[in-house]
Amino acid sequence: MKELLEVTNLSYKDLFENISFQVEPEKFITISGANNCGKTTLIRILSGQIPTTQEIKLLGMYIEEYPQNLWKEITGTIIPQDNPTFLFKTVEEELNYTIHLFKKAEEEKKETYKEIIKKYKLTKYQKKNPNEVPEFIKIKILLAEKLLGSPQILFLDDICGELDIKEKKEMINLLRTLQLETGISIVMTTSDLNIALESDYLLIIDEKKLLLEGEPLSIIEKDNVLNKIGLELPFMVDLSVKLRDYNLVEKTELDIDRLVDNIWK
Amino acid sequence: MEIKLENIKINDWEFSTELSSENIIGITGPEYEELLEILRLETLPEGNITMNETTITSENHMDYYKTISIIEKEFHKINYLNTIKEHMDYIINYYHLQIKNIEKKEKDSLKIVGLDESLLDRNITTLSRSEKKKVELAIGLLSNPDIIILDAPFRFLDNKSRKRMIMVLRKLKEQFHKLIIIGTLDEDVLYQYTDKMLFVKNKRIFLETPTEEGYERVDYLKRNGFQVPERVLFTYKAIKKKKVKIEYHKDIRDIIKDVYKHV
Repeated sequence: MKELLEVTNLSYKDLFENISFQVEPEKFITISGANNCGKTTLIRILSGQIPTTQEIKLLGMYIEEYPQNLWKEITGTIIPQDNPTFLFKTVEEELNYTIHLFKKAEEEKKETYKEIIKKYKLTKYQKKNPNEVPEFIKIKILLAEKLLGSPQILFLDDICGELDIKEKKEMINLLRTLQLETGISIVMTTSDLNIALESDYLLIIDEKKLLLEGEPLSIIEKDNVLNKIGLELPFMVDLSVKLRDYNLVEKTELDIDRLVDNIWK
Repeated sequence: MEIKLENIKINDWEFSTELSSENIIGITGPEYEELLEILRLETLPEGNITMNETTITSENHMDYYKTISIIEKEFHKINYLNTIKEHMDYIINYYHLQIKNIEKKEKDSLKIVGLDESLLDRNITTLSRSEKKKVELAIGLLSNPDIIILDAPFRFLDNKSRKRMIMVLRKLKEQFHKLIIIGTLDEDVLYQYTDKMLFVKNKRIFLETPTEEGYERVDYLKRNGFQVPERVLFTYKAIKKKKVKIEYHKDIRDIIKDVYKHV
């Protein structure tokens, strides 16, 4: 399959040295690493906020060759720590303004608004100030707005970092639904390997290099490597790996009931 | 450090509790942030409050309010200030803190939380979220508070930084007798790092208990909408489904040892 995004020998200041990877269409990629390994900077580079020269291609064309309008059309970026602010006083006005930019017919605008409210579960926030709603809701509004432009790839910087466990699960389900419906590719940084487990492909960055890449569970099972760089394994993976070392189970099991059944057959 | 709160009434909340620096206190539940805000004592609630046996009244309230430091969920940069040093100087001036060698105190605060002193002149906006989290604690320590309230202190921190932060908090408790209060919805953090728990619900303290004892009441917690850490659930299910006589442990290595003995 042709790659959507190709990163070749990316180097940047003292953060990255010859990093290369590809993102296939319709895939959910997570990028992880210890604190200060450069995750946010990498998202800024991939999303074109930090200029590069012939290191990153999207749809076969180098980032720097894209006209700005076209680039904005095919990509969407959310970096919560930049504290994105909303222009309007209510979630309803904010969303309707963005819908107005992409839809022409009045009926279509109304339908789109209704769909967004339902899909993103925003009903009780419609009359609230979008700058004052919880972080989880802000992220959902930003996602809805970005998706209205039908981009082909989303760059998300640790959007689950501030969420509690229930919200994280809901966010991952939402991303998966959006991906299924639109075929969008997602590149997301996270320091939480529980989130990474839910993705299709995982990249681990350490000491300027791409340390590991592959199917998330097979990467996260490398407990010695990940512990050494300061990443915490999800509890169920950690437990399974250790039980396997003692020949108490044969494979990693993420479900508690099944793990208990496997140990005490 | 000990604080007694009796018959407290404020903003529909009603509760009594005693918190002491003998324990790291954990608070969880849907309204935990509201309780942290009350414990901050910015507004004196109805009821009796004593700190180390001194009653807090409207006359002495501000003196005691200054002995409480709250480490917010998110670092709030002051608009017209840029560097860490500028933020630290601002706090020192605002609270009229009597510090002989200000720069040394500021650098020491950074070192305590595991940051290099060279960061003092760095612009806050260039810091990562994990660095901001540590800087916030460093600023909170400048006033030498008796009570440190932390809202979701381990968010954005990797395992190494988290272990360092908990080491700092334990040291503050054990050597300097600070009362440490951690509020979060991360039940695994609470189970592993706190000694006493307040589970809050419907603007009340729903359950006040030693941490391990509290989380072992799995059915009760789940029935009332509280989350239970996976490490507790694993042991709970082994006991309940398989009738295995293993015990609850915080450390995963102890869980493994116990499983090994009982297979």
